[in-house]
Amino acid sequence: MKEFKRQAYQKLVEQSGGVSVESLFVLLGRVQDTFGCVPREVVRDLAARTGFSEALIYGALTCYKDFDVRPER
Amino acid sequence: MSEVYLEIDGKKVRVPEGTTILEAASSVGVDIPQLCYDPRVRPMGSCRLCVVQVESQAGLAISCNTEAAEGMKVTTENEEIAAIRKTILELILSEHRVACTSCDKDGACKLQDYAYRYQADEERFGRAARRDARPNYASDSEAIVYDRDKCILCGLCVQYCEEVLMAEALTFAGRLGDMQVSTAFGIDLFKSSCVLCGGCIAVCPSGAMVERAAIGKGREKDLIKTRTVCAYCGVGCQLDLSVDSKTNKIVKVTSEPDYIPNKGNLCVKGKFGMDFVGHEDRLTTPLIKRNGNFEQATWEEAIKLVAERLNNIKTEFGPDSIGGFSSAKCTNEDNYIFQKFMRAAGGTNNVDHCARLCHASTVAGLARAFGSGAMTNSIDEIKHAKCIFVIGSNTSEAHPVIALYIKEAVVRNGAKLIVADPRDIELVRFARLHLRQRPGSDVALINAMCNVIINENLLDKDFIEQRTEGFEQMAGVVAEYTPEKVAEITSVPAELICEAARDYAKSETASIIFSMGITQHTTGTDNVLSLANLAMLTGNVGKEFAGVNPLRGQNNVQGACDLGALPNVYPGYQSVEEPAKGEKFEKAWGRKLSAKTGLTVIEMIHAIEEGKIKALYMMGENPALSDPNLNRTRAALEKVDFLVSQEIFLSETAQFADVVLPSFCFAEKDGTFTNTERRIQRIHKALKAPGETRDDWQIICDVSTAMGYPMQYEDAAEIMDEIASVTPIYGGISYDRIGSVGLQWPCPDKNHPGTKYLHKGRFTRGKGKLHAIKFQEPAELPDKEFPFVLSTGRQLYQFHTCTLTRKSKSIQQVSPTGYVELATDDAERYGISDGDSVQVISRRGTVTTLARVTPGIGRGWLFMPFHFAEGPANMLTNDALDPIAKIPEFKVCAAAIKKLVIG
Amino acid sequence: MKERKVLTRRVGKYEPLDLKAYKDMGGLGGLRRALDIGPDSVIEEIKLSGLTGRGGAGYPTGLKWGSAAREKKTPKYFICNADEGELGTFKDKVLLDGDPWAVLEGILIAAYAIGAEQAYIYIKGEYEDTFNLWGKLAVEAKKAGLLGKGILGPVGLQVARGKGPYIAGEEFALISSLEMRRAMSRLKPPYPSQQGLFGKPTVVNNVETIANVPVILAEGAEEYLKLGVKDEPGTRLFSLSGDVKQSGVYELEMGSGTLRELIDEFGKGTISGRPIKAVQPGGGTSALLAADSLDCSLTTEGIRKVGSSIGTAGVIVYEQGKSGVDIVKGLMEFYGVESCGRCVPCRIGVVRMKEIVERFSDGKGTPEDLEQLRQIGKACVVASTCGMGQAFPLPVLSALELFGEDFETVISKVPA
Ligand SMILES: Cc1cc2nc3c(=O)[nH]c(=O)nc-3n(C[C@H](O)[C@H](O)[C@H](O)COP(=O)(O)O)c2cc1C
Ligand code: SF4
Ligand code: SF4
Ligand code: SF4
Ligand code: FES
Repeated sequence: MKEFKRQAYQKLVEQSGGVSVESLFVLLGRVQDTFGCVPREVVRDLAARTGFSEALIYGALTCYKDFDVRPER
Repeated sequence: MSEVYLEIDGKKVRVPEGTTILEAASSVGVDIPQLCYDPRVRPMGSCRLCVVQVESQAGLAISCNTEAAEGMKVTTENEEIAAIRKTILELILSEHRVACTSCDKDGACKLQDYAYRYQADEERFGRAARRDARPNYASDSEAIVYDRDKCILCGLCVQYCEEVLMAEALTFAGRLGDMQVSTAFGIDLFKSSCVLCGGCIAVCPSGAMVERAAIGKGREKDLIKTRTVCAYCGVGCQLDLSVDSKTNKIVKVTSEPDYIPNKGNLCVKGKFGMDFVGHEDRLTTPLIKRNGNFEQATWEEAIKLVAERLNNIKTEFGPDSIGGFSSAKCTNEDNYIFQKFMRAAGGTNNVDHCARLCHASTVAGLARAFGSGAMTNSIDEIKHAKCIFVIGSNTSEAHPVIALYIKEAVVRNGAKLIVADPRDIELVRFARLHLRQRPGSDVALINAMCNVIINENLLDKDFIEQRTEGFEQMAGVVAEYTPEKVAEITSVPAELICEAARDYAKSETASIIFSMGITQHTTGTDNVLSLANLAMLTGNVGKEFAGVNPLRGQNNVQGACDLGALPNVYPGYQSVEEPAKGEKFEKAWGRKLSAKTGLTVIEMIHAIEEGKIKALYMMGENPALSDPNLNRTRAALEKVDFLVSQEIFLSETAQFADVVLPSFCFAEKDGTFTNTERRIQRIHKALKAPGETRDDWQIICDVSTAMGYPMQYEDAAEIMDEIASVTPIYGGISYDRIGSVGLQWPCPDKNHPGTKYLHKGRFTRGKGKLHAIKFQEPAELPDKEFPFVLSTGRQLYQFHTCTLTRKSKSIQQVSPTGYVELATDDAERYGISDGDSVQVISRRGTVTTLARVTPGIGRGWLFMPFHFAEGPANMLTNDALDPIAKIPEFKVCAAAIKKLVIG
Repeated sequence: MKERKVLTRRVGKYEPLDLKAYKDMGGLGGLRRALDIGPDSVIEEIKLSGLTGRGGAGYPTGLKWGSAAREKKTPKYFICNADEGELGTFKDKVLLDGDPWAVLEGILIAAYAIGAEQAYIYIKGEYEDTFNLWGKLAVEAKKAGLLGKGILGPVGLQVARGKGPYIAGEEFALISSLEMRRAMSRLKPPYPSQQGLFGKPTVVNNVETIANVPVILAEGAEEYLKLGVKDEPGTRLFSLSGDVKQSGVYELEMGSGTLRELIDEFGKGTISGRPIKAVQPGGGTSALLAADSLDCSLTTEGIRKVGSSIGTAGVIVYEQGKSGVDIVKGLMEFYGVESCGRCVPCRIGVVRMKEIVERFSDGKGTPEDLEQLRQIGKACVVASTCGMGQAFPLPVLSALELFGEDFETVISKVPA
């Protein structure tokens, strides 16, 4: 993620009152709406902060047509 | 638990409440088709094949998720149901690339079986289009292959990985036609959180997930399965070796959900670490060193030479100039024969094995506190404990399958987990409390917990009064260890210590689990005694689900100890110094025996330096890599007059030998192993041994006979009968009784069912003894020159000295080489980045390895796995010994680190 | 037949963010009474009122609340389902946009009654304006002390925006979605009221269901029971669409007329004036009714008797001139990509059925195809986990039964 994006992301996190399991879906919705995609760095960060696995979040995101995530291969 | 009665296809069935219809049916042999059921995970309910009709209920019921209820009448198949099953199968086949002709699952595929049973037409709904063969997350994995075209998306693999392993490497990705199993972002499996347990392969009902190495190497009908016990760690997982009899090669390793104690779960070593068995580097003939070079020899030559030299040395320098290292890798029968050989033919008690290096302090400590030194509970009990206190055990890496039970206890049964470990080990993720104690400060920590328990009156007074002695003295010492004072010693906050003490003491059943982090200290015995104190204070021993549970390292280290491969005891922990025992064995073995306790492993090495030991006989040990202060050990091996190595590979140690005798490995043997929960289990010969190799006990018998003490046995079963006759705790053991579930000692007679947990009602030594233990600092503390504390330990993928694990490609891919872990802060201070080459230096040596920078380790602390021959951690470790157990302090030494500057 | 505006009485009558206007029109009376009588009595009141779910399944709301309230596990959650994904259904939006405070009041009462400290509203992705409105509404409500540490004790409301699939409206798929898992349904039992969001007791209610709650509490269950018929009190919001002159949302008392009256009087007949060929009375997954079955009463029972279901009360009208094949092709195009992927028959069956229907539409069907449609449809209906798999084949199966000849005529004359 480019630096300016990281800042934008941090701002979204603040707006959402921090990262919590209970608001993860809402927060990722905002990330998608703001960036037009969900970058891997965001998934990694949120996984670390919520205790969810990256696989679980990635798998979930790919299930919704309005989330944009791209596999790395 | 109450039971319900129901009727399934007219058969009366009685099952415990909560059983599903599917399980109830299978308990009476009614086989309801299913492609997505596995007893270890919650029902998936995806295949929908398991539908049944329940009388007077509308519609059909999903039998895998419907509980059997009183009075239910179930029909598992009728015309309607059969038609639906057929349609469902045909739908699956419309998406499944049917390729039974070249599929490895052929003959062991449920989909194939049901398609046949219902005569499903594979092209009824059109022929499955081949997807484009885009690479997937497993394409570059050496271990696993995933074929989306054969995947029926049942979800079992994902669920297993998430629910049982809790590795959470896998997920479904995409939707509908695009839906597939994947890792996060499709990254390579070996870069994900996968721990290579192979469980996903095991649960897959189709040919979608298979072992890469097994492809094209044989189908069900080409392979012969032999059930045996894993040769790696002390958990003692039962598994099946599938061997192609034409090539005499192990094609794959599997296990089943009803196998004890692992329930079909395996770790990477059992699953993917068996390549060593048929490896081309195996020794095949005896070797004799002539002029510094090994030359092939015949068995007669080799045995004659060994017998002559040993006899000569014995005559010239006395029996105690000979020493023997027995082996925790070998069977109970091998160990029994080895120690009998050393004692009866050799006339010395100089016999020991690597338990010295891992759990000697456990054996010494628990014998003093309780009267016997083994895990008090069974593995299966762990998952029902209400509180689990893990200290000095990185269970997920060293005993992975036991870690599954700990996680199950926490996640599914709500147990409270306390982890005391300086590192952020995997279990910390599941723990309520993490105490990051300074390495070597365990006694202080445990004393402080006892202090809190006494002060807050959380004691089990009745238990202390009726079943223990020594409370007053112990309480007197513990009183000094207030949480506040100990917070300073251990750097664990006082409040955390108090909470841990309360969690532990207030839980109805609390189980302590420990391993080498407790034992490998100069205060190892003290550490163990303190833990025993903690358990006795709260009455948490001698009952189901609660106890003191050392996890043993090697597959048969428990058995090697049980059968007297120790310098102070005969089989069954009968003291060599006790005249009555001596007489008994003299009678049984027909020889005069020494009543003098022999030397331990490290003492024998030191005795070589002093010229007291002239000959060493090693059965499958590798001290040239596993022992502390390697430079010193290697010099001793160089020095000893005569060294025999009985081995499967030309190991680091075997290189020093004068004679090398090639032996069978576990897969080629019949015999028994005793796992960490005292369970004696059968191992079975699965394939032909290479070249001229021989069974270990057979070789020893031949040498012994040549030395003038004849030993002869028909087979391993006969040896076990002799063991039973002289070893009270094994008194009721015989091959016909062990069966497929094994027997747990003590098992004194033929009618005894074995013992699930120890010390019920009475301790082995009568009353349990509380010990007053004072905290002492480790032998070597950091200073200016060596500012770090270095600890060594194990890592999931490798075992011991890697002699075995490194032969596996799957393992090499994830764990190619050694490393040293250091904290991010420290790395910054020393200008070291992740992956840099570094030198780690101690007073005893210098080692070059790679840096692994991690936030998961405390400042000022270094951690190195000890497995690797390049950068061997034991060049650095301290061989200072625990005064009682003589175990070396592998866990703490002072060290320095610096970046390697090339050129 | 006349509209009876109970839930919709304030729609369009005030600025959506204006709480004061809402109060002036009698708003928050239900909440006040709820606080007066306490959670247990609230649940009793809802049970008495006979309120059933408006999201499609028609489960008694009071029972659902009661079982969640009884659970010992905490925290508990309340979710308002505003995903409104069913074909031919657009009534929730009317309430969400037109009288949002009433929906919020219902949510607060529900959370209070079951003891939830965290509530969610999950708004369909396409309803962007609605989502934005609710974001602001939540801020206003916090200011007014309705949310946050307010008059009810702490209650939070998360406004979530749906991210795609239709299946996410199914209650367990919705729960999974909020857990940041794949939108997949789950096996029952356990039910959401036992093990819902994050494994905790959870109630999921449709927007319209929830909008009934303040009315029941403000006026009392007894008063409410005077609406509708004996076994089905209250009103329903019918979404009328398809080949009618005037589509729209009409609030009618239960049983106050017949399906035909609704179509004729409010829809003003078919667009072309041709007679009606078929009607789906309960949204896109309800079975088709032929023109001769339309004189049924507008109640759950009335519609069930003629062979379909009231579902979401989304009435879709098809006029003569459309073939049965066209009708189901349109439906399968939508549902054919919506299976959550859990159950084999639904996941694969929906795709195969879509393909077969397309074959008929291209004039390439075969007699064997007809048989296949029936078999796959049946397997889905009897062997699927959730309402999707159990219901999507119904219009196809009913079309085969009612309009079999439409399919026969397009069977390929060319042997395959
Ligand atoms: C495929 C499918 C989609 C659904 N979509 C919705 C929906 O969009 N909105 C809704 O309120 N209920 C929907 N439901 C029904 C919910 O599962 C659930 O029954 C409902 O939200 C419960 O609320 P109620 O009891 O108030 O009706 C759907 C069900 C299925 C099977
Ligand atoms: S091998 Fe084990 S850890 Fe790895 S993906 Fe499979 S189940 Fe998960
Ligand atoms: S790989 Fe096997 S276990 Fe996993 S979803 Fe596919 S068929 Fe099921
Ligand atoms: S019926 Fe369809 S949508 Fe429902 S759970 Fe099964 S696969 Fe998912
Ligand atoms: S076994 Fe029940 S649905 Fe697969």
